[in-house]
This record gives sequence, C-alpha cells and structure tokens, in this order.
Amino acid sequence: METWKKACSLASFELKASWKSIFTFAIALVVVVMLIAPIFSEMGQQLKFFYDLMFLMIFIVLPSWLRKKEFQYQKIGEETWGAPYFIFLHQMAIPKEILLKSRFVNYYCFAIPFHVLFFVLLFIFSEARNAYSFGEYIVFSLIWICFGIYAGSLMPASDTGDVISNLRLAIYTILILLGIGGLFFFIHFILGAEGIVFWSLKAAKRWPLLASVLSVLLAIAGVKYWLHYAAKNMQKIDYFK
Amino acid sequence: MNSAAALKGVKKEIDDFRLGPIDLEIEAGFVTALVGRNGAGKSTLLKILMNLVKQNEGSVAFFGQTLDGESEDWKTKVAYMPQSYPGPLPFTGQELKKLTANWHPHWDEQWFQQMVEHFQIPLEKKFEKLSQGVQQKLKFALTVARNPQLLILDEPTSHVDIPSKKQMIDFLIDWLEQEDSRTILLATHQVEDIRKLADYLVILDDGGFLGKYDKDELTAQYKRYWIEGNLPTATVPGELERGKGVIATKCARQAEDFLRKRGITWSSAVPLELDEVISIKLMKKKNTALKS
Repeated sequence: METWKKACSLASFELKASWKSIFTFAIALVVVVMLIAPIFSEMGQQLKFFYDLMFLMIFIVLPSWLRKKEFQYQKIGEETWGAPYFIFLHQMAIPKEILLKSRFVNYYCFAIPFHVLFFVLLFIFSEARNAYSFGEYIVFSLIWICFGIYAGSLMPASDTGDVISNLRLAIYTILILLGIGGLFFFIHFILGAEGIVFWSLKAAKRWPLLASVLSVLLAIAGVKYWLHYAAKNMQKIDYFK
Repeated sequence: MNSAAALKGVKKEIDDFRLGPIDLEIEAGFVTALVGRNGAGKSTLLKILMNLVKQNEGSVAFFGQTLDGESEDWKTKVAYMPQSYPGPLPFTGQELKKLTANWHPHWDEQWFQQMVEHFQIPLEKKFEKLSQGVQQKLKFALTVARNPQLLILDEPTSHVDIPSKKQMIDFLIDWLEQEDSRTILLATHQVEDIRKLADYLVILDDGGFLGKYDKDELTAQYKRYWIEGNLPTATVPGELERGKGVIATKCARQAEDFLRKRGITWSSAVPLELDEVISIKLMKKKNTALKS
C-alpha cells in the first residue's frame, strides 16, 4: 500500500502538468457519448459491428490519447518506442515498483473517470434507462470499466518501451487489424451473433453477480499481470535516449 | 583502493557497433574523464552503468556491490546527468526541482539555490522555454544537488557559455572538496574540463577500451624538445614527430637519456598539450595527430 501511495504522489506531478487535458477529455467524452447513444435504439441494432469496435477503442486506447503529448507513448528512436517521461523518471533514484505503479495510477486517473462519466452520460442521454434496470446498467458499466482496467493497462505497461523495426511494426499492425476485423466478421457475419457489447448486456441481465465478480477479479489479475510485464520489459529494453 | 564503480568484461553490441570488452575500476575520491571520438561509446558506457542500457556480457558493480537487476540501493548513491533529456518536459524548473528533490534523500537545497543564483536560472520558466545552455545549467544543478557519492556526468559543459563553464568546474571542485570519497565520472570533449578536473583518463576508441591513464603521468611522458645543433640520425625512443630542430616523443624520460648519451642538448622541453596527447592516443597514425 505504501508503494501505491508513493506512486500516487509521483503521478500527481504529471497530473498537475496535464490539467489542460481536461478540455480534450470533455470533448472526447461528448463525442463518444453522441456516437454511442443510439446503441439502445432500433438504429443501434443495425450497427452492432460498429459499437463493438467503438467500445474496444474507448476502453483500450482512448484514455491514453487524452494524456498530454509529452507523456504519451511515442517513437523515441529509430526503432524504439516508449514514453519519454518514463525514461526521464527512470534516470532518477525512484524505486522501480513505485515508478511503474505511478504510470498505472496516472492512466487510471484518466481512464476510470472517463469511463464512469461515459456510462453516466450514456444512461442520461440514451434509451438505456428504458431498456435496462438501474442494477443491470450498473453491472454492464462495471463489466466494461473493469475491461478498461485489465485490457487498458496494456497502455501504461507500454510506457516502458518497445524496440520494433518499421517493417515489423507494419506487419504487426496489419496482422492485428486483420485479426480484429476477421474476428468481428466471424462473430457478426458468419455466426450472425449479436457481438461483444450485446453479449455483455446479456451477461449483466442474466448473471449480474457472476459477471460483476468475474470482472473485478479479472481487473485485479490484469493489473498484476501488466505490472509484472512492465517490470520484466524494463529489464530488457535499452534506453539510449 | 576503494572502488566507486567497476565494470568487468562488459560487452555490448548495437547493430554493427561493438563496445568492449571493458574492465574498468572508477576509484572513489577521484575524477575520471571518459574521452574518445564521437560515437566511441562513451554515453553508452555511462548508460550501461546506470542500467539504462543492458550489457550483453559482463557485470557492473557500485561500491563493491554487483548489480543484479533487482537491487536499487545504489540509486541514491549515484546521480546521473544525461547529455539530453529523453523528450520534452512540460515542467518549470521549480517543478523539476520539487520532483527531483522528493526522490533523493541527500538533496542539498542550499547547494541547489547557490547554483541557481550563480547561473541565473529562471526557475519559474518551463524547461522547454529555456535556451539549450540554461537547460544544461539546470540539469547540472538538479544533478549535483542530489549530493550522491558518485556523480556521472555526460558532457556536462556542452552548450554552456565560457564563464558558466568555469563556474561549473568550480562548483564540481567545491563539491569534491567537501568529502574525500566523492567521485566523478564524466564523459567530455572539453579539454579544459579534463585539464582542471580529471585525475584519470579513460580512452575509448570505436567501442574499444584503449586504457586508463593517470593524467599527470601521461602528460609528463609526452614532450617536445627544441634541439641545439643537429638532430640525432637515429630514431629517438617514443618518437612521434621531428621537424626543423624539433623532436616530439611519448617517452620523455627514455628520450632524454638517449639524447644525453649522444651529447645532444636542448634549449627547451615543453609538455605536449593535453588535447595533443589524447589525439595521439586516438590516432592510429602517430604523425597525423600532432599539431605543428
């Protein structure tokens, strides 16, 4: 707990310097709520593929884009990617555990309020309150907020850096896009299924307790896994900058 | 001899560049200057010491304790000033000071304020808005005020104006004099830094370790003699260059014995400049390195 406290104190420097990001945060929030709001209407039934993609984007990558550019993951060398601010901190006498946890704290300070506000606004400005009970909606929100934690933690873990050639980067990007596209095509057009977002709605309705407990456990495991990954990655990466 | 840092058999391969093998001890209480041409591997070596770059082979130890990748006690005993920060920093000098001071238990606020005053660093300005020279001074103040046992400085005086360079060196000398065991390892291209600060020179050439030298002993070996009468026809020990009535050698003592035995006298003997000595060490072809 002590290391988390110190990590919060370290993250506070970055947060204070990021106060202007509140405008980007607000604009992004309004835009995504406007885009997602029709999900519970009839029109939403026709665009399930789109909503699956949007949810993945909102809960994995979007919070990172809200951070100030100086703190974001970026290209820092010919084949090296990472967060320059992380490397700056790494050059100081900050224990590794605190340094890594501070990256996660900072990410969650953007991601969790963004995702909570997203669900609050979505509830207010969509048909959700007519289609689902308050309890069901809370479980649905919890499933995705937890997803944002265990899948989204990939982003602060990535701050520790990657070494990847442009060619490999291009190949991986194409493979990931093809993989996601193929999976979604299979789910939506081959299986004719409702898709990830609607499955999560069903889970929230039918098995609220199980879905909630599982999501929270996955979030805890996710944080531990990504912290471990980041610590191991730090030992491999050469920080030439 | 107390060792502040030690590298044993350190090797690193980066594409077609090979650093090492390097076996080196940085003695506590002394200043060691790391010299070499651009791209010789000086900064990489410092980053290996700081565990920022990982060696392919070999080990690094601080104050007798070999680093295993997990231990972090050494971090508060060592302060590192990089050549440049890894990216833009959206902080003012004041914020950077607060951030740095928080994580360094031996932080010396008085020392920091003294440097800020001397270098006239506007702490209220964003780091990115400062000129390159002022950024360098701030980085320097933020590093030295950590008050470590070992200071690792990568090109500390580059981009800095002449009076400030002198002040930086004076600050380092003052800092060293406060405790016997204080140690500095610096990579530099500035002859003046080496002349005024260094006790030892470590020379790297294209990733290879040429050696560690006592600066005074090294410079005492390299001399230029103005010969009275004819130059000897035989090659003088350690001869580097001969011109009209002038001979330069890298083995002064042996050369003087050689000349005396032949009854040759000289009107004056002048030690070579430090930059000449380093250039000779770095040049494969001895004659091309000497300045006329």
